Amino acid sequence: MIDKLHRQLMAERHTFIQRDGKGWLEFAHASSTEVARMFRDAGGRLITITGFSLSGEEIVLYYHFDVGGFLYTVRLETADLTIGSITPIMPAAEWIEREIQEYYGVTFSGHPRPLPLLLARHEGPSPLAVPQSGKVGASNP
Amino acid sequence: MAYRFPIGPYHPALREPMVLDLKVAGTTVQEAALFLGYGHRGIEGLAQRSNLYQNLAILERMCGTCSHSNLMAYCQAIESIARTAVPLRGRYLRTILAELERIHSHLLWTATALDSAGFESLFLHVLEVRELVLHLLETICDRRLHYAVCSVGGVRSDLAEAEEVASLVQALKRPLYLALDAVMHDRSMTSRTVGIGALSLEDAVVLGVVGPVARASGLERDVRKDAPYAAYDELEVGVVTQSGGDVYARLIVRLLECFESIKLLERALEQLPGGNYRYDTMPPLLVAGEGISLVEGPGGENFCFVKTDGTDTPQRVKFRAPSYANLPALQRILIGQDLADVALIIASVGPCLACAER
Repeated sequence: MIDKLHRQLMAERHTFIQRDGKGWLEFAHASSTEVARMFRDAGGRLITITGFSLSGEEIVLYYHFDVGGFLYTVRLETADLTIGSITPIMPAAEWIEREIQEYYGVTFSGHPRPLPLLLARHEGPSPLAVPQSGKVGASNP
Repeated sequence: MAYRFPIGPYHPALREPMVLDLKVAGTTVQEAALFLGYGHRGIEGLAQRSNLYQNLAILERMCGTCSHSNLMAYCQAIESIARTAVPLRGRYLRTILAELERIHSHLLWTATALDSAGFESLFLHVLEVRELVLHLLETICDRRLHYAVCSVGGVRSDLAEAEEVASLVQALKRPLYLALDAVMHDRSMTSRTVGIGALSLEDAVVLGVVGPVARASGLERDVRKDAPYAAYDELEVGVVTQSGGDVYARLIVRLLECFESIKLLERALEQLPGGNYRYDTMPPLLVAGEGISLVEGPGGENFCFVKTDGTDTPQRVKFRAPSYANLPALQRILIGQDLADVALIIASVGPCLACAER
């Protein structure tokens, strides 16, 4: 199963690097839903998604999948702070996408229940949408 | 006629704050929805404003029952970015601590479920056994829960009490057998657990549950075996599974895993190699990169992702605790269950909100 998936990844247009028994992928053009379908069909499962804000504009999303004990990380970016929800394909993504929505202000189009998860009472901008500044203890050396 | 039955955020049936919004007909649950956010501490944001070493103290305090697992996951991610290897003795000592943590955590959740089932005498017996493990951890680390032993590059201190650990591990077996026997055969217990709160194998796969909850539904998934870390590649890890997927199966998996942990501890202590338990000289850690680490904590898979830019402060630290993967499954498990069993079912899943909310 993994060999077949690796052949597919190598043959297509993706940047695929193996390191420490883990695979790191960057897709030239692919939607989150295409990626989720590919891993689901390969017998994979979603571990989680990591959001990351570099510039304060678009958000980078790292999708972490496990196929038979081999970890894959797929790097995708939002467009206009929007990306397709993979919850209809992998229900395990439901809470993960809701959390990223409130942390980073990302809209997951097609999410079946886009409610707040942890910050229902939070007011103001999404807390992790801009790079973190100021060190802990910096003002109190 | 159906009615809404809200429980929480603070309620005796819940161990930690959350809201459980149930739709009930008679006493049967028709729908269940969970609402979190009452214990959120912003730990990931804090970790991105703290340096790599401050984070050791912060991340270990994310949770009490899997503090070592979280910390080990973080250290492994940093070591992966720096492309360094931990000395073998350090890996063994991490493993020994991880298995002791697994036993005390499993016993805590077993005791919690027994308390919810009203089996007070067995509840106290299991807590008494757990106390032996905590006492041993205090002897080794000077702390009962947040051990501050694991660090980048190995562990902070050597194990001088190997014989004491070996002797206590032996002493755990008999009281654990008594607990297992009662959970398996006592009718007042089995009448509350068998067939209650079942999660099918199909649902376990689709919902992505992990750890004892997944293994109780027949899903043979364990990071220690699937992608070994620390010293697990040198120890033979036995994966415990059950097929019922119910409260009974989850209790049995946790108790049997205590025996597996005892076997691993015996092997690890017997094979404990000499040499250094941490780096001789600290390699350069301030390099840019991305590191991922998976650890099989007591509740299941602890995932950690770290992104660094070559400074002493990480750009991103992400944790996915096992309870974060397991809690959504409660919304499926509770459907069709009796209202009186809700507290017991929740306890059987091991709902650690401190980890889930961070």
